[in-house]
Amino acid sequence: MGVMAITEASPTNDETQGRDEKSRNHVLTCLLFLSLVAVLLIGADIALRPAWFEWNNYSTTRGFYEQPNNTIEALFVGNSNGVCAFSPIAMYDEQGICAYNLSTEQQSAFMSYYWIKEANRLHGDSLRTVVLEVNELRRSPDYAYTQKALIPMRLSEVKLEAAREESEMDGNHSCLENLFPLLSFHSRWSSLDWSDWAKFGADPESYKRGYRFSTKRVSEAMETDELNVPLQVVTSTKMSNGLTEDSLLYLDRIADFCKSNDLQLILVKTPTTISWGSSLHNEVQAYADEHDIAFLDMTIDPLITEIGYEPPIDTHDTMHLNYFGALKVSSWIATYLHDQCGCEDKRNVERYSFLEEDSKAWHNKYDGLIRATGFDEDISEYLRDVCKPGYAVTIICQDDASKSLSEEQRLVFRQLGLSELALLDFRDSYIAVVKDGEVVIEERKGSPLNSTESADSVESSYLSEPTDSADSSESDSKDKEDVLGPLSVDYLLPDNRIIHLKSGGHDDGNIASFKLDKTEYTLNQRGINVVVYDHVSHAVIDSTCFDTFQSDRRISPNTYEALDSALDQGVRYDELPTNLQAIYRYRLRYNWQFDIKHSHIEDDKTPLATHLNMLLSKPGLEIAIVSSGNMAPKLGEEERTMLKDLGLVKLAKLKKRQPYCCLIESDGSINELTSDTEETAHLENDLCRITSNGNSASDSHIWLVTSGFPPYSDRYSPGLFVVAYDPVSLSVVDSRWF
Amino acid sequence: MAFTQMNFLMFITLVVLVYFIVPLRTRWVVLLLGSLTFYYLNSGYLLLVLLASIVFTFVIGIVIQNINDKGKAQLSNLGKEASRAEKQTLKLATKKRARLVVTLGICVNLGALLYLKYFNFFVDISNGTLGTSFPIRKIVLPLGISFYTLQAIAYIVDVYRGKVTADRHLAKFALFLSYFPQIVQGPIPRYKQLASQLYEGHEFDYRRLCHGAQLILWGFFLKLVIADRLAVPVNTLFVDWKLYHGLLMFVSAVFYGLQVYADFSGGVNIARGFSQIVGIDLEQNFRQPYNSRSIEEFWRRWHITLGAWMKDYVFYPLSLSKLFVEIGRKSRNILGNYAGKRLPPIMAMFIVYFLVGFWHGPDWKFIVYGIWNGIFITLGILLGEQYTRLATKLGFDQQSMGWRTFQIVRTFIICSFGRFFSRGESLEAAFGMINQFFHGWCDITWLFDGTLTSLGLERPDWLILACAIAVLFWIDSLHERGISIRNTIDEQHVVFRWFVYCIAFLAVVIFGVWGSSYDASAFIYGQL
Repeated sequence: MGVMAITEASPTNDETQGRDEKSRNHVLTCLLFLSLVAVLLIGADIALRPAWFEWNNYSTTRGFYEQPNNTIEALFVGNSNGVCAFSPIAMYDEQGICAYNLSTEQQSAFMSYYWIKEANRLHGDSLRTVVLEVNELRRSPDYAYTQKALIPMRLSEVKLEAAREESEMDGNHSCLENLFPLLSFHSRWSSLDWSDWAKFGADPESYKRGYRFSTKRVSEAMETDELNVPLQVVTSTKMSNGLTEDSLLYLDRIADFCKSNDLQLILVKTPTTISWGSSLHNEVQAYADEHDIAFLDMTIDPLITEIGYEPPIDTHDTMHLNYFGALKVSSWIATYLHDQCGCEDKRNVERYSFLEEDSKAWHNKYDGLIRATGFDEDISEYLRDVCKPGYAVTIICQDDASKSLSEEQRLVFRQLGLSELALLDFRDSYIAVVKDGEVVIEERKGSPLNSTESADSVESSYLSEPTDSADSSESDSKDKEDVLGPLSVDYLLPDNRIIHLKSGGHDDGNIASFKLDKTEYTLNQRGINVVVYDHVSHAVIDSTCFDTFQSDRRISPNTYEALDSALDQGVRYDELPTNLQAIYRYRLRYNWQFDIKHSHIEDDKTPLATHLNMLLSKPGLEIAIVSSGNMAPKLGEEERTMLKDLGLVKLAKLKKRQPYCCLIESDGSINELTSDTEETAHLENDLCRITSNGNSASDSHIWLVTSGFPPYSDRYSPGLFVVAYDPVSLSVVDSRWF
Repeated sequence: MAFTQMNFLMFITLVVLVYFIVPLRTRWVVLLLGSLTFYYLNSGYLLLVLLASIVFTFVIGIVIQNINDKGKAQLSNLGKEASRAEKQTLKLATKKRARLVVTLGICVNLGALLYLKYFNFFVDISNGTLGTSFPIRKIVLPLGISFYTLQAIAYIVDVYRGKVTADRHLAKFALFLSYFPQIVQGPIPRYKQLASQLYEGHEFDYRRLCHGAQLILWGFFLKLVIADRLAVPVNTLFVDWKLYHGLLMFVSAVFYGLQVYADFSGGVNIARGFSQIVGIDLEQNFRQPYNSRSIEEFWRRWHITLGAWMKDYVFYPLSLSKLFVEIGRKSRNILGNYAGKRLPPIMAMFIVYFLVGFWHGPDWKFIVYGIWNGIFITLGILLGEQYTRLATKLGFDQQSMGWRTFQIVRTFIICSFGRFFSRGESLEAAFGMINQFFHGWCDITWLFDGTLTSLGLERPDWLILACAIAVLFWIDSLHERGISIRNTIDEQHVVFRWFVYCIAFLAVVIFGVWGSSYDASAFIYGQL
């Protein structure tokens, strides 16, 4: 600033000196103030930047930077499919490989490329293999998810390049915004939540090495009718340009980068098949062939069989693998990396001793949970396995949970400190929270059937840590015995999230509820409902129910085994528990789809006749067919001849604008209906109702009556719908539009 | 490069740094280059329009100056022996020649403004009323043309009147007309007040740096925290006005009034703040307008430099013109002394407010907005004395706080109704909104039924808005009492001072509506 104060006058030496000193002071003051501003900005940035705990983003990116340099041998990148599929600890246990899973939520090829570069910057000497999960290649980068992957990257030339390139590619966001998240997130002040406090001092759990743990099985949570059957075979030779231009551009760059840095690139499609199909497979395969890259598509044979993937038990929703699925994939791929890519066993290498520590930490945290969620049939064993440090376990009773409890189980409850649970009586309401193995809340209330007083509910609040809850709860519960309404407790979790718990016995509201951020997590079924919350990872990791009214043991969580056992015992479909019914239906559909997909109808010249021929050749199914709109012109001569041979005479002769319905019973008998005079035709039996309109496609439906299966009215162009369903379970095994 | 963009901040930082690094005598060059760069970055090739205007006005100024100088020289050459009549003839001849050039200068500058800004409006009128079919042209308006045109006209007239000597340095004159902080939305400076400040180099002054930075920060607070936040409900209410009624309509006008105040004064404060840092004092453009006790006073406090321009270059020339003097004489004969004396100024006032309205934009709604203000000012002139007498008779103490508050509220309400015209989507929409106001005007359920949050702002935003507006009025009230906030801050201990700066800075960063998640609105007056 001394330069700034140049004047044209000629002051004396003293004046000049004095002025220079003043200027220096001003410069220093300005610098000091600017430093303060910088500190404020950094503080605001830290406070307002989201933590992104979901999908392991926080743990993955922070954990990565805790790895000793030049240690990672195999790097996994990709989207959430990859996050849930590749467990580096499982790979270490299997083959001693030092891997890291840098997949993040909806990670685009663009971000995969830069994370590969970043990994190579820090682990260039050790990195040998890069595994890219290809599911995200069908999408262009989405800025919200790019931010989640880019912002946690540490400042380096790689990040600068990524930030600059992102702003050029996107056009809506500046490079500065990518480097200084405050520019994007300064307005978050009004929506700060628990995670913004939890992120201070949060444990990145680097021992997870980027893998997201979940033992939830999709078959417990949803109807398996919604589950996609694995692709199993490539059913078509078509390519649909499903891979976006951006993805292809960065796939090229990834391939070039790997080649120039002597890294072996492997493309992998994990076994889930939502948003995946033949054309995408063909495109990626063509790319891999052209560039001489290995492509491992685990959605098809032979890999799917080798891995032993079973969607109902190996996924935690329709898209992502759970721990059991990830274990299968990771073990298989560990062997592949060892055998094909030269990844070495690091189990006894001193430099890699941290891997052994990671493995120990991992097993300490998850082994009990895996036993509990995957195998334990006894509630007491389950609680013993999950009531461990790191978890907040909530136990909530609904209806009656006492009838079948054994004395041995009550004894274990007592040993765990759950004295009220040990005393559980007929139709009692009950809530307990066990944090880090310590009982912090336990409340029980008897059935009020004989009480004369009334109240809406009994409410307690544990928003501050209770000091002597287990002792005081006994007297509390006595006080509340005469009050009507479910037990209700609010509890502040260690990461500052509030859960709202409710328990009502049969006569007290008949409810079990665990609400977190307005989401209900209990199964809300009869018996003891348990929800396990991981307060280090900030996620509910298990929710289950033990019907201890019915039996002292629950149905095996290994549902395939349980179903086979029930069927062997001669249990009928309608007598099976709901989750086993779902598995039954899924398996049925799975088997049929296998055959259907093998028929290659997509490339057939007479797809309708081929498909019907295949369905008719295997009795047991009922088939409903409806013509919607004027579809007759679509039937070629060859197809008509084949249909006639199949016994579908009226369909073979279908005229312009004629309605057409057909029901084929499970014994093979065919009931066709058409009309020369009427615009519509209607056919129904006990299970199915069909309406065909020769003029209007949108007025033609197939409706499975008892299951409430939605009518097929979503097509508005002329065509033929064929729905094949199992008359026992009324599950649709295949529905197709021609 | 809007004032609210990050690159503008970087740009002014760079200009300031370079300004103080180069020698004093060349510092004006930094401002000139900065101004031309700023204009080019914002308007591209339209810089040529500005340059043309600069060159033309510069030449006109010199020609007028030469005529005046020549006239004076001839007058002195005549000597003492020349008769008075001869001198008078010479003066008149000189004045006539100069007036011709002034007229040319005004017409060309005004013509450019009329063509670029109002051509399509006139075409629209012609096509609608005369049945012509002139095509609408796609005309891009050069940045700040409404401001620098007035500035140029003022300069030409001032040279003609001999108030200033014509500038003979083209580059320096270019700086006067293109000075970037004020070209976007004013204030409208006078040559006499601004030019010498621009041309002379200023030494670095730490106190000025602090004061300037404070003013910039305050400007950003007004623009980003208040104006741009208010823009969200205002846009909803004025676009979907048919969905709302009653008091909410009036509230929408109040909101817009506050928005435009925060927006406009925010921008001017940023301009003044930068100028202060480089040693230049720009004129104040606002002086707590919402403390006005009459509409006439409001316009003396709101957009002060426009009001002053209109007074000096429209109102007085008109009022003192032969025509208006003649009208005054005749009207006194016909209407009597009281009304007759007031007619010429009222007519001039009406013309001024018609022009003020028209200057705001090529739309009938702006003309009505001007007339709306003109009506109330006229009523003030005509009935002011009677009104005061009546109040005195009724026993109101006109200096009492109650009476003053009543006057302020009354002025605020009149101003707010005027906002229907200045912000309404069209003249029809403005009248429609007023009509909607009278349908269930006493209904206040919108305060509680979630309507407010459906306008685009969540509850915390409303809270921040309320606090920020409270701060704005608190600061205004301090200024009104003559308290200089910046001087007061100067007197505080450095810890407290820096604490205040940090809070203000964080308030702007965190509570401001900016960044890619929002598209910070362009300055309202920057679009004129």
